[in-house]
Amino acid sequence: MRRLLAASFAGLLLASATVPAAPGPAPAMSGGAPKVFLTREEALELAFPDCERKRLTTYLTKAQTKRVAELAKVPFDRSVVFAYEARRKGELVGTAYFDTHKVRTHREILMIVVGPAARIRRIEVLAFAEPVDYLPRGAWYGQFTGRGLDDELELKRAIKGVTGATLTARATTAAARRLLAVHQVRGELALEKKRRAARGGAAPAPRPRRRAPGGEVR
Amino acid sequence: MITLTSLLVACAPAAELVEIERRVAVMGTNLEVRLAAGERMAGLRASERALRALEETERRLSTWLADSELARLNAAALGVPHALSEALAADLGAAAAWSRATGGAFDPTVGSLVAAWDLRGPGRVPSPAELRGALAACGLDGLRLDGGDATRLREGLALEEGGFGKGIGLDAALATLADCDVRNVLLDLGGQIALAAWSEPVPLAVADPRERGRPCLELSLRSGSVATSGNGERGLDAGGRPIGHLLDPRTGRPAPDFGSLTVVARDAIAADCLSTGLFVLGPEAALAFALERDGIEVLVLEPAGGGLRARATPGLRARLRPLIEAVTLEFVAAATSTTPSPQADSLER
Repeated sequence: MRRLLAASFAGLLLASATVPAAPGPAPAMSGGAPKVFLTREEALELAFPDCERKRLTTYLTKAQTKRVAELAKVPFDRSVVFAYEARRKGELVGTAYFDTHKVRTHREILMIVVGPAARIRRIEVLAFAEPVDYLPRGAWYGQFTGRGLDDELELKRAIKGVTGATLTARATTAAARRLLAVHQVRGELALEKKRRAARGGAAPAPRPRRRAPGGEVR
Repeated sequence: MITLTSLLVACAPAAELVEIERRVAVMGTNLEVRLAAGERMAGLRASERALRALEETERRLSTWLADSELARLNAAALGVPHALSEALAADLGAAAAWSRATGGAFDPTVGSLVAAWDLRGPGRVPSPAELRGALAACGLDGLRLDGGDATRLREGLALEEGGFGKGIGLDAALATLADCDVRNVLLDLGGQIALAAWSEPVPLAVADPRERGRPCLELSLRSGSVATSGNGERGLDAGGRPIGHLLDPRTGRPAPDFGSLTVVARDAIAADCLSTGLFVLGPEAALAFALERDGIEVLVLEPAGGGLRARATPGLRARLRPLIEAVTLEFVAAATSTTPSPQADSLER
């Protein structure tokens, strides 16, 4: 089962998340099987219905990777990031990012949708391989919506911790910072590209395509 | 709001149904959606409709958003009628009705008090002068609701959706799901639960007010909504002094803490408003309130000695089961009620 789950994560949640119905009431939600709530495609379809969606790949230089880490104030070492832009009638509706991270010993996949104003519009748990007891309940995830990348987006500042799910709280806050930093750096690169085009300068030669490393921002 | 937890992972849907479960943030809180449908994508689309209904409610009511309709009303000029959308007029009408029913113990106009105690921040104790000013700004008599218009009549009057927004959102979400071919619907919005289309009762865990991570009672329902209030959930601390987040609009101060109070009602708006209002009224008045009304049931949990005293209205008799030995469960007599207390099934929609 564990291997199957790992395969599901590695396969970017391509498998259907259908869970067979249990006969009769199941035990309380403590521990238990890992949860896959939504596939990536399902999450995008639900977040952006009737939108034109485009997967965009950004190759980061070492300096850009370092800038993401500095902005995020959390470790970041990716050289390739993926963003899913959704437009309706040409108008940008939002940009989705997926972050796979370890909570304690197992992984969580989050989708974070960033609105045109660079603030978090939706945060949804796609998969959670730790016991569901580690998923923060109550109002916790709601603290992220509407937030941008600033010093307040930190545990013990605008984001309150949660008893019993400290590791998930840390991992989620780090993921939010990481993805917003990626979003900001992508925006800076796009702006730079526009400026260069306006000056009539040639675009830099594309970096050789590299296979995306596993994990993190995908 | 103290979190209620669904004890259920799956509750015997027909074999051909596909279960959907989602965890997503909305209205500044967590939403857990569970439902069953004949086909996965249909179920997911239905869950998204429920989520969109909540997002629409948030855009209308959230005073955390400067451009929400309610925030614009809060900023409207004094004495000038302000046109409301049909939805907001209905929301405010419903909140005002529950405010009147509780004699003002639930009050949607406590925005000035929330600000004075800094309940949206780390919390603080206001000076007596600040408290007097904030209290003077509260009260529904400072707002004239006239069909599709609202007129602010008092400087500083601020509507605060914290006590009714979730209920309105949950009712809207269930209403939109009524058109979908789904069953076994459970929506958990930051601890307030709404249920629909279950053929069997769903066991829900009621938290121990002394240790909110620990379930102490099981409450079984097939439909309706459940909301619990207690001061254990949000530990605000004003300079080392703990302060409760449930304010008594009549005194301007946090309501005395006695444990927790759970309201079961047919509609989420009723459960939401009353869980706050009846906590403010206190255990005895809360139980008496529910005994006098159809479709409202109340459970009061109070630490007593080393254990927990649970008192409930008779309509919950067949629905409650202690989960820990320390709970002493008793049902209050319906003899004082002017209208017979509802039987168990009268809670069902």
